[in-house]
Amino acid sequence: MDEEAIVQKCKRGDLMAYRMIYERYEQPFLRTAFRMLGRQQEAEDAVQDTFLKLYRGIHHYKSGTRFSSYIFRILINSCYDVLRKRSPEVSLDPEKAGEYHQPSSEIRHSIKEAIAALPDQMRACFVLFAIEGFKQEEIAEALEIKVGTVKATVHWAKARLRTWLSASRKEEKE
Amino acid sequence: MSCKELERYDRGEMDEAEFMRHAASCPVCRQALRLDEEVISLTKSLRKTVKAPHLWSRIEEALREKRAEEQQLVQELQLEKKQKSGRFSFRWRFLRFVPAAAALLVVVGIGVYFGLKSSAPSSGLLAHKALARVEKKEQEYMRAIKDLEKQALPQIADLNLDFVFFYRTRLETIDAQIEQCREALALNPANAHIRRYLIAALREKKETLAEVLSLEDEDTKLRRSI
Repeated sequence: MDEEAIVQKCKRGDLMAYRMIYERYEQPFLRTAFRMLGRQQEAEDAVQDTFLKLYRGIHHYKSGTRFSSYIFRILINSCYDVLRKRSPEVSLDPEKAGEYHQPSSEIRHSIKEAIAALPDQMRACFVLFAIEGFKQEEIAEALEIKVGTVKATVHWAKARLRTWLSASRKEEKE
Repeated sequence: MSCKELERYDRGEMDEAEFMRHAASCPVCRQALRLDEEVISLTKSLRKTVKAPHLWSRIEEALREKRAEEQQLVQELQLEKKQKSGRFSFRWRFLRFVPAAAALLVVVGIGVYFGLKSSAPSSGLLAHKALARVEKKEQEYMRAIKDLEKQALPQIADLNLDFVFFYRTRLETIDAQIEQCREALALNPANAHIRRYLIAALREKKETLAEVLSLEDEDTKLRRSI
């Protein structure tokens, strides 16, 4: 069944249609939420919250627009909600790459931690780009930002991770 | 260390072939590309299955609860409306409406009969200017009805069965009146009586459609408040 037909069923309150959406997006959702939040329980809560928000707001979804971007926007916003409750918001300005604090030497052993140390929006961009294979236009729609901002953000994320990788390699040699 | 050309490439301001030509002679960009490949490869290794065996059950339960809450509130709203509408139940109120509709049909029928019968100009005939004004008014109603129909007709199906039956019957009755008036006016366009009946029927249709939409608005507000 195509996605448009499933969405129409969702609009009529058909829970089987919501299950179909869950089956399609379960892994991308859990992976993205887990990378955004770092904790499995919180990632599952964010996915659940996404479906409740989808149920409430499905009537606002306009046919013809990319459903994946629409639903990922809800998921990312749910993740931001969790992060906001957790700690004060981190600066999301990708241009401030120079202010980036390297992960400390204890946590420099894994790419997971290096990604976790990226600012929220930069992490969202990079995860969708590098792990989920989203096109930059899709990321822009999902995060409601300009394509140019996505390109710049991914560029700075790669620059930070390159720095992290170089430092890790040096440490290994020493 | 970084090179501005890499940033230009990442921002899409430089195509791949041009950047590769640049990288061939730029050790900074070559090193950055090598590291990028490694970063992306390490990142892709994180694309593993995350197990959450009970997650759908939790979501489904939460959705069912939400739906039940909504249905209960919609029922409460409809009950409140019925109570507000007086001591007659909705069906009884509908039955009360039937003789009125029948009487209106009879009156329209008589009007049409006399309208058809009078072929010579009389005091009931509208002057040319007045006729133009009346036609303009009818067109305004028709436009408003067309707009309202687009929104209201799909909503009727979502209403409670009592409301569906009531509004469909009411709209069918009004449409029959409009049709009768139009047939009569095709033969005698200047008949003031029939024009008056037509305007009244159009007004009633507009009000009925607006009523359907107001019911829908209340439901929407209710859904949002949940």
